[in-house]
Amino acid sequence: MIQPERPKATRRRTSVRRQELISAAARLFASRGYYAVTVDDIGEALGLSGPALYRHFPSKEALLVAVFDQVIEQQRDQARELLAEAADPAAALLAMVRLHVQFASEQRENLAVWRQELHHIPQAESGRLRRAQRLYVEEWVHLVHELRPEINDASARALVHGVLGLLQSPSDFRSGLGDDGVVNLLMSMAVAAVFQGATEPLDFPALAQRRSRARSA
Amino acid sequence: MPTGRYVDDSRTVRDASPVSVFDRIVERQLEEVTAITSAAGDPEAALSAMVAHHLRFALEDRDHLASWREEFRSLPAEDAWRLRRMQRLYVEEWVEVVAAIRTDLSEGEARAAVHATLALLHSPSEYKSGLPGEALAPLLASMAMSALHGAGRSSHDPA
Repeated sequence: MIQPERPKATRRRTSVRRQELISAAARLFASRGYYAVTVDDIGEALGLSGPALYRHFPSKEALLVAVFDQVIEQQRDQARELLAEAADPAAALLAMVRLHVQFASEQRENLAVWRQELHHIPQAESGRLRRAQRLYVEEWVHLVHELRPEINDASARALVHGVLGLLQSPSDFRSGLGDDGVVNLLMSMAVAAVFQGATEPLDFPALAQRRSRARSA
Repeated sequence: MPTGRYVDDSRTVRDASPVSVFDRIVERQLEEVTAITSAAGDPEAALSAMVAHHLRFALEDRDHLASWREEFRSLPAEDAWRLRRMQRLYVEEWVEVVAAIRTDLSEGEARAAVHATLALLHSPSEYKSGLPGEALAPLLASMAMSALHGAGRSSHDPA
């Protein structure tokens, strides 16, 4: 059967609806957990029936992939923005650390589902998601190279992985310290870990000066 | 009829169920860390030995660590409860040593710092850097020690 081409307005409505569904799913997955949420719950949040929802997403898993896609993309965009705006690498590091801690706390449920489900979603999808995640990690690696030019590439990458693991630790464990307490503690640990083995003491103002001298040179 | 993914997978494991593997690992880790803390002369020495010990586990057993992360939430409640309890005892061995070194931290801060350090040491089970083990281990050990000594120290605070 030949499908008549949809008028533009309908297509736009469709993509708005799609976006609404992804946002509702992300919210519900993050607050109640992926496994506890049904497709009907997501539809209900928007006043949609199950069949109406399936027109946009064939399954709950498809919605999960869409949520992951969006979370990773947002995270990467935010990272790029922070890095572009930061006055120097030291400021960039603090901003990136704060971004990742905030991300881990907001996406706590989704992170747990990510770890559990990534191996079970179709390989084409999981491969794409992993590649997207790597682009975010590469922003970090680039930053570590600026901060620690003496470290080789594989070490910088391993260092970044360690720092991300550290910053994500509240996703496995509730400390009861309160958000500010945790953020400050993890920030100080992450910065100390990035500068492990550094011969010069941690001196952020000097680092910033070095950077601005290098820029003007 | 079993419905959970965990139940389905366990049938394909020939020698042991994931739970019994997890049990064995947690028990062994707890035994070994207790031996380390009781043998060490001072908390600093204990901490270095504990970092080295945990790293050996994280690098040698990274597949188990990965499956722990993937499977833990689908374990039967009583298994999860028992394993969590053992894990907490293990973490408490660490907290005690860290608290002895970092007397300026509250107990809650020391515990959060320990969790963060363990997560750091677990990173090779989640991401592959391509860095060979003989370079990876000293790097992660150095990061862990720096992170624990730098925890809560605000020399990096933005102006």
